[in-house]
Amino acid sequence: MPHPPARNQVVPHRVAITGAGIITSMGIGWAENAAGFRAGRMALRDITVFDSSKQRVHRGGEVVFDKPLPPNHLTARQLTRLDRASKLLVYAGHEALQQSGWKADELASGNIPICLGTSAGAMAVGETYYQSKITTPGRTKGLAEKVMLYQPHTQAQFLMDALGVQGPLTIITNACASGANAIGHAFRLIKTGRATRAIAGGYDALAEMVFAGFDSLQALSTTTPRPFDANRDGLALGEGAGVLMLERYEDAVARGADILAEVVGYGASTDLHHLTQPHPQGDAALLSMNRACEEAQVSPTEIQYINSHGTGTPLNDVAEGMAIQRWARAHVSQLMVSSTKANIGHLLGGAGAVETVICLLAMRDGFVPPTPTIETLDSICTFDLVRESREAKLDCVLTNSFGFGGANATLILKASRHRGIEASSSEIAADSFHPSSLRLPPFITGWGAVSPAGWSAGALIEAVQGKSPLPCKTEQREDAPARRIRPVPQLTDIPAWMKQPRFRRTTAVARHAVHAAVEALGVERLALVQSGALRVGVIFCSMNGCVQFSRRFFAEVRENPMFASPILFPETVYNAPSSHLAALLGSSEINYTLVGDSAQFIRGMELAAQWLEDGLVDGCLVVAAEELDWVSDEALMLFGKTTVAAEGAAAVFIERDLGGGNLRKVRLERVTQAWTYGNGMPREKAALLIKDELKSDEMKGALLCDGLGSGSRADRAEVQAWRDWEGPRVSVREVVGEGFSATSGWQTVVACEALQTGPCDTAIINAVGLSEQAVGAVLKV
Amino acid sequence: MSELKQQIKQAMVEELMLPQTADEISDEAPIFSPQGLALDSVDALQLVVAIEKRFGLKIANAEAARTAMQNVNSIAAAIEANRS
Repeated sequence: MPHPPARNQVVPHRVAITGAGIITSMGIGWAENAAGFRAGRMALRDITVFDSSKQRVHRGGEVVFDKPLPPNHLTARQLTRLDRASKLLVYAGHEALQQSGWKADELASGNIPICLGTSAGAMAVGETYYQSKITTPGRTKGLAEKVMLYQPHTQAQFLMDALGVQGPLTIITNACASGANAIGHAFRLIKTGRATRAIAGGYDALAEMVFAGFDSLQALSTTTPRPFDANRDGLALGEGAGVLMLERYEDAVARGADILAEVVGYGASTDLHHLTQPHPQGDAALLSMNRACEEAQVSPTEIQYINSHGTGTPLNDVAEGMAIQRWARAHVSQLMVSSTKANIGHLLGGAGAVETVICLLAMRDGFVPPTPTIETLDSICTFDLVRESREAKLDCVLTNSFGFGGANATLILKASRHRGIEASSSEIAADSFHPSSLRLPPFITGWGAVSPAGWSAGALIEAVQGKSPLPCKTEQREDAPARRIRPVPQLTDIPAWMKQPRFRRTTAVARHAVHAAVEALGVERLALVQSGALRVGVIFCSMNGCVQFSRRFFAEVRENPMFASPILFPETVYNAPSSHLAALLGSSEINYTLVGDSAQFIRGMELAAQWLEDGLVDGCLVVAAEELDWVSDEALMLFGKTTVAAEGAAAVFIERDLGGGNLRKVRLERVTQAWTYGNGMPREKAALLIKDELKSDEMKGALLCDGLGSGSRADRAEVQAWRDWEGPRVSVREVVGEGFSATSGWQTVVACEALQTGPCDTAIINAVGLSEQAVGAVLKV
Repeated sequence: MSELKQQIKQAMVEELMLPQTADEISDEAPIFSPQGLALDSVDALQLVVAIEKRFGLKIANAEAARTAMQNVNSIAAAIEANRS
């Protein structure tokens, strides 16, 4: 039986949307998009951002930048670097901020969470980096910039800098559900009192590799995308961004803001059926919709309109249609449904956010956006599939986003008639973001690791205790500089799980992740989870993702996209490993992939604690994993010549204290505020702020698990912040190397083990990331 | 013909990341059945690409794929027919 929800003392807050920005191939901003969607205008055009001549499909929802970039705080240098994806974010972010009426001087407090979803980040920049490394292997000039720009958190930092916002950044990459997850995450932060406001959204720009990937899977329509048509033949890809400003309803009312709508429900689930195919009966989609309704406390009869995921692929639409039928039951014929992907294409990580804004347009202007391309309605449509423009007063709508890897998310919005007339105060409530005050500090009850030291936590701990750096391997590719790496040793005994068909095609990063997770859970608890007795969430963190397959796949695309491997592409998606983790556990619960540097594992533990506090899950696996490949190893060398790239994974199982006396357990006492670099927050300052937040009694007698040893700029910041530290310390990186997201996971595993064996009863984990953010954690026994 | 079948098996092992060796695949093993190689639809797409890339046989539609991709024997027959 699942455990009862954690007792949450906080009265839930209503969550208002007071700003929303949109950019799609339909146009830039509210007015153009509202007019276009109301009319059911098609906005697909010939692709010009890359050469699609060798692919089967040549059209998509490409954005036309026919308006100048809106006013922003970016420097001239940043403006010259602004990639297409970042531009999309800046347009949408500016519009949302303007609408919200948030004051500029309130934005730099450091307390406004930024939650973004993306699937591909700035893939196009990564493609140019790769191309450069292929054609001129020895070249280094200008490439560090490309490597930085390619990381999704750089686009987020551009957005933050453009708007003048500072705050903890969370990037969720749950494939096509990312944008909806990001909004749902921000919604929950405010609802539960962890934040007073937040910026949330999703974005993706067209990129050749992603386009070729969908083409290789024959998922792209060679005619016209016709969601819910009996003869549909696939989707069109598009690009764009949607950004929302969310805040507590009472604050919005008090300051007289125009409230666009309220977010009232969010549901997330994981479809375990297949990496790229939904369950044919729509089981997980139904779960996602039911969960959103439960949170919103609305029944299907109260929902008037569904902006469906509606990709137009044969499998998606029938699965979603089945789920809608099962969910709405007798109400189904009354339910208006459409897919706006017919008009602008599938925006992948941006879809959930953009479609949320489309719902806002529809609610505000009183229309239902039609799906204009249907010729023969599929028999699955027992609901009212809206094919022509229709006027309607919408009070309650639902939007679905279902992605690769089985990542499902549903949001429910309620219209607000509040137009600022009840204003009682012009002041906005002081921001109060409380990441450090975990209300119910949870326990880490299991840990596992895969590292250059071997396939167990024990091997890692033994190596770290030995204090000597592990031996390096030197490799060189053509004329490129020789690089020193620490790979994971060959696995001699193949574990049973690795022989399952699902894992045949997985990459090293997924195997590292699953192996560490299995160790963290242990045999008995894994069986318990697999039996369904425990509801277990998954948080997977990575910086480089499935870089080996990505590099191979893109090489094939460049050679001949018609022969690009459909078998590789699904595994290149950031959240493929978390999907495999969920499949191993048999868990349909909430599952996030967080992309970013080494701070992510700590942020992941913080999020796990919140899920436990909110009663969403009984336990949560937090896993970080990386794999080596020359394309990322050479990129790392651009940031530190002595840096040694390492691969592997770390995993912890986090749960509430269930009174078990003899469990190995370490309390996650707290996580400090996360400080995102940029906008007046250099790494050095962030490192100091983390140390300043720690209390003197926490530090007394504590073991410092620092992040030193990368040989990069992050080292300098940490050395400076902790130069007066005289207590015991352990430096995992010095022994193992730069493991990106896995590094702070390894630090956590080493800390847990050290606390179990004594003499310290407190450990401080310092995660000063290379390029994104810094955060710390305190563990206790 | 047997050399072609061996090449097909080798292609399958490499392109589909199969855990077995080419010699362990029988000519008659049904490709998509759990009793055979238990391949799925993504494998099928990969196999179509591999057959065209390595053997020059372009499988034009789903019906042709169903006919050709039953087992190693049927794939070999389709390639041979395309060559003649």
